[in-house]
Amino acid sequence: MENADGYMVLDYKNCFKFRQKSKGRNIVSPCIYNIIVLLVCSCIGILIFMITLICLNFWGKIMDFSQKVIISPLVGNNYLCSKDWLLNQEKCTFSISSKTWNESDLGTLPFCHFAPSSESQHDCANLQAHLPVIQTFKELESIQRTLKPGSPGWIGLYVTSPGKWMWINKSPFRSNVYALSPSFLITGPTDHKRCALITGNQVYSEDCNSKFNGICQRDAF
Amino acid sequence: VVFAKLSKCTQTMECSGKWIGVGKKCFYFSGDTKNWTASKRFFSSQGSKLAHIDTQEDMEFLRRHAGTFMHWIGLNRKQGESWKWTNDTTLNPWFGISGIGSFAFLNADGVHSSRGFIDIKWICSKPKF
Repeated sequence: MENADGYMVLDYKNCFKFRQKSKGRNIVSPCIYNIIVLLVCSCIGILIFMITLICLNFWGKIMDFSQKVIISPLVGNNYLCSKDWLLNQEKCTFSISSKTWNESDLGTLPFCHFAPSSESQHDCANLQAHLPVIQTFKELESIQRTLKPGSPGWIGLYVTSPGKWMWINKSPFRSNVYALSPSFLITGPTDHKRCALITGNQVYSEDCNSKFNGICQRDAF
Repeated sequence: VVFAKLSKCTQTMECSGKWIGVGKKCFYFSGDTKNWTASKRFFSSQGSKLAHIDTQEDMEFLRRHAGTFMHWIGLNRKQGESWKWTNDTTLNPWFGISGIGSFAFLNADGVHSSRGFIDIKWICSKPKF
C-alpha cells in the first residue's frame, strides 16, 4: 500500500508538472488516465470490502439462528415437537379452527376425529393427537400462556353427569389437586352437555355444541 | 362555498381515534377481553353499544377484521326466544348463528353462540355523525 501511495503521489506530481508545461497546448495528460484507473480500482476495492463485511455479518446471523434452533429443544429437557407444534411441558399442542366439542373430539376417545369435510391438516386423528388432558398445574399454565386473548380452546374435559367432570382418558377431574390454584375453578353451570373451554385466564363450562377453536395435544418425541 | 360545504361534510363522516369507519358506522375492536355483560357495559356512556350489524358489507368487514379472534357482538336471547339486538329489536335472521348459547360472538368463521361467561374480545359500533 505504501508503495502504491508513493507511486500515486509521484505520478500526480509529474502530472501536475506535465500540465504546467503543456499549458495552453490543450493536450490531455496520459497520467490523468492512470489516476482515473487508480480511482476506479480503489472504488471496486472498497465495494468488495463492503460486500465481504455484509456477507460476514449475514453469515454470523445465520450461525446464531442455527445455534438457537439446536438449543431450544435442549432447554425443554430434550423434548421435541414437529414443525408448527408448540412444546408445553413434555407435550406438544396444536391449535385448530372453530368446531363443536364433539367435532373436535368425536367418537373413539381418547383420539379425536374430525368430520370428513374438515381440512386434513386439522385432523386430530391423523395427527395422532387428542384434546388436552391436563395433569398438572404447570401444564395448565403452560397451555394458557400459548393462548392469545380472544381465542379460547376446547380441552378434553366434559360433564358426564350433573356436577361431575371427567377427562377424555376416563380419569376423573380431581379439583382438590388444583385447590391452591383458583384459575382451575371451572366457571359456569355443570349440568349435562357441558364441555370445558380454556382461555388465557380461566376455565369455563360451555355448551358442547358451541363452536370454538380446539387444542390438539400429543406426547413430545 | 360548495367546496367548504363538501369539506365540512367529509369531516363529519370520519371516525375518531381507535374507531374504524365502514359504510354508515364506526366500529371499535377491543384489545382487552371481558365476558358479554361486562363488554356490553363498556362504552355504553358514549352513545355506542356492542356491535349491531345491519348490512352484508358490515358483516364481511367485521369477519375479515376479527380473524381467528372471537368478539362479542350485541346479540342475545332468552331461553326459547329469538335473537335480539341490545336495543331490544328482534334480529331479522339474515345470517346464521351456530350453537345453542344465548350470547353471540363473531370471528372469521361466522357468528356463533356461547353462554356468555368466557372472556373474549368485543366490538362496539356507533353511527357516523
